[in-house]
Amino acid sequence: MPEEYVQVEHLVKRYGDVVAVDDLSFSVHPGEIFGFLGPNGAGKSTTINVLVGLTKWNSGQIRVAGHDLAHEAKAVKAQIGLVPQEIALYRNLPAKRNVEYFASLYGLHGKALKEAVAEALAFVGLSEQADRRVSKLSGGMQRRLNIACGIAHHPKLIVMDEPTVGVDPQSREHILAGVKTLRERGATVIYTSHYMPEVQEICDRIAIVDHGKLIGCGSERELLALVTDQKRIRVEFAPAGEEASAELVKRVQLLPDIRTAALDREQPSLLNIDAQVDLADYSSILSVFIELGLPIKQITSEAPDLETTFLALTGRELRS
Amino acid sequence: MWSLLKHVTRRLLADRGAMFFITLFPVLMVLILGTSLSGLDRAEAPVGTISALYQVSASDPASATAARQFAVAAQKQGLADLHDVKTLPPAAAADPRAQVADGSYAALVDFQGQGRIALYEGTDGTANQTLEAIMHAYVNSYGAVSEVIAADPGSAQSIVSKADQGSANDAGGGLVQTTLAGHSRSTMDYYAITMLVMMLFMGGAIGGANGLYASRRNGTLRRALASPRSRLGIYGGYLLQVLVMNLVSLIVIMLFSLIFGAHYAATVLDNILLFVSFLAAGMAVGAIFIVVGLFIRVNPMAVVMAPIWVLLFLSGTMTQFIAIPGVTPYLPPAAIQNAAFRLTIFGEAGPSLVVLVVSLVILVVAALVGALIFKRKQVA
Ligand SMILES: Nc1ncnc2c1ncn2[C@@H]1O[C@H](COP(=O)(O)OP(=O)(O)O)[C@@H](O)[C@H]1O
Ligand SMILES: [Mg+2]
Repeated sequence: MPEEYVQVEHLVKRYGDVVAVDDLSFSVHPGEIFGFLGPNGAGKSTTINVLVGLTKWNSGQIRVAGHDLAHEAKAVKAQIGLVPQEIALYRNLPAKRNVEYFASLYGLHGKALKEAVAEALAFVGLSEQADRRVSKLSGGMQRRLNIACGIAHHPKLIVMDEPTVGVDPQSREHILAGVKTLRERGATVIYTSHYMPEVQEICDRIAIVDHGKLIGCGSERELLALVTDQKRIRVEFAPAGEEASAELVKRVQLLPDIRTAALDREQPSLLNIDAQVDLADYSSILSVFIELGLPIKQITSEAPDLETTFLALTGRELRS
Repeated sequence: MWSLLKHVTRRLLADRGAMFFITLFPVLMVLILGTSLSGLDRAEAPVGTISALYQVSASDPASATAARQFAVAAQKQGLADLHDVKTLPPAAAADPRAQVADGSYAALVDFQGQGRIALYEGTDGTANQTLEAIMHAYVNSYGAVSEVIAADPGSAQSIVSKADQGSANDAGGGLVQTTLAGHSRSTMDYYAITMLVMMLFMGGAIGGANGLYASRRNGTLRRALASPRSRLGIYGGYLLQVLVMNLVSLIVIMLFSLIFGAHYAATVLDNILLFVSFLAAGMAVGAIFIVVGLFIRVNPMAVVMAPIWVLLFLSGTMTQFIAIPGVTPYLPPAAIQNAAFRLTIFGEAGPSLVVLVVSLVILVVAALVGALIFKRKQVA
């Protein structure tokens, strides 16, 4: 297996004047869940569609499992299981006939096909509904069946485009747990979402895209480090005289790993400290308070999350 | 291939709307039209004045009297507005058939006695259809037997050859007489054919356009295109879908109309030709509408149905009394349907063979064009 399972280099895709994907590069390691995060219209689906061989692209290079998509599309497609953003099913057919047909497109037949269908339905918890028409299934069940149709043929790379959109919390948990199970079975997963918490919950690495551009890529930690290397600590203490407070600020500022310290403008008994992100213990800060005889009432610290990271990187909220 | 066929068939059978549309709907139409209209051949379209010769060649006095009362009876039944009925002394008339052949008269109605009425047709399609309708109705009301004799020189040859089998005899003057393939014809025969033509156009159009439209819309085409299957193979699936749909509807309608007493062609071979030419025509329509389905962005039911109905209406498929001179004969449904009538009534294979060959050519061309577009275009 190559080092990188998926490699996208300088991908550009234009729709007329709209640059849907703008010089995008990223790579996916084998066996990881790779999150593809961005707001609506960021170019996630477009990237996915190019990657799975559905859409032609303007420039750039894409390799999957060592195959060049431009020249060996068939070999690339054989590796992939697609879970499209829209529910793509034959509504008149029973659940199992859907899975059966789509798995058969990948060359499965006979007994192997039957087993794969049963396994996929069991995997998404729809064994009991195997013979029910899709139109008779609930929205959440259809979402799960949509996934079953994309994974029954045991693809090495599973590409999921917003698989939890419009799903009830229970089905969502079911789906997220399922994605993790797929990784445990050795599959590589590309998981697209505009919903930060689920990406944080299941993904090993995350690419953040906006307006077709890559904003950042890496583990959650690496991404946080992109925007800031500091965290804020707030210490609330019993009201003290001006002199003592000024002395407190001066001393805390001199501590190692502390960038700035200042009293809150509205609440003089609150000290705001910006520290290096890797300042792990607060004992040096606490000792200053003790030395000055200032009783501490409350201490809180705020590490930046991906949501604020996104805001910092793109200048806009992730969810609009 | 086999699994695709199974899948396509399953999908068709599971689609209750389509199943109703291609089986129950035409069967209901056959039932309703065939039974309610059979004694009721009443033209609704103005056809203008038709000059026909009316001859009583019956020699027995009873038949002669009955025939002379035809005009009165037809008028009373409201079958036709007959006027200017003149009786010419037999010697005064030139050979009446020659006058039809040279176009002086639209047709000759010959009362031959014992309930036999021969209709010698000219080349005016509207007049022929009208007179056939009047005669059908008259025959149905009075239990007579009618025969249609065409003046079309092209058809003479094959009918003459049938004379050897004793079912026809040469009447001379470019006019050939034949029995109606040995059957007394009913309106059911007419509607069985037109229903097949109707289905082949509507089924082909909807099957072709909707198959593609639906799979583009519901995203299943995207799944197929993301699989390692070749684009051509996926495209072929749509043709297969049309084939299955055509087969199902042809077989159902033919069997059902047979149960209800319709007659098709006299020989097995002719019936096979009829079936195959219809199937080819349906496939050609389907292949064309698959191409249409590649482009339309709205539900084909909305945009495809209306023009097809208009086409069928103008072609006289909905009712046999619509015939627009200079237009109707050139419309594909009319051409196919007339070819089928010539085959089933006169045993003439020529027109149906032409339909078969032309359909196959159109099918191949449309399929190739579709394949090319499907391969190049961003279809989903
Ligand atoms: N088929 C298309 N034709 C024209 N523009 C498109 C098409 N598909 C996507 N776009 C545009 O490309 C951009 C990216 O869309 P998309 O990839 O669907 O974003 P996401 O999946 O992240 O929500 C959007 O501006 C969208 O309007
Ligand atoms: Mg999307």
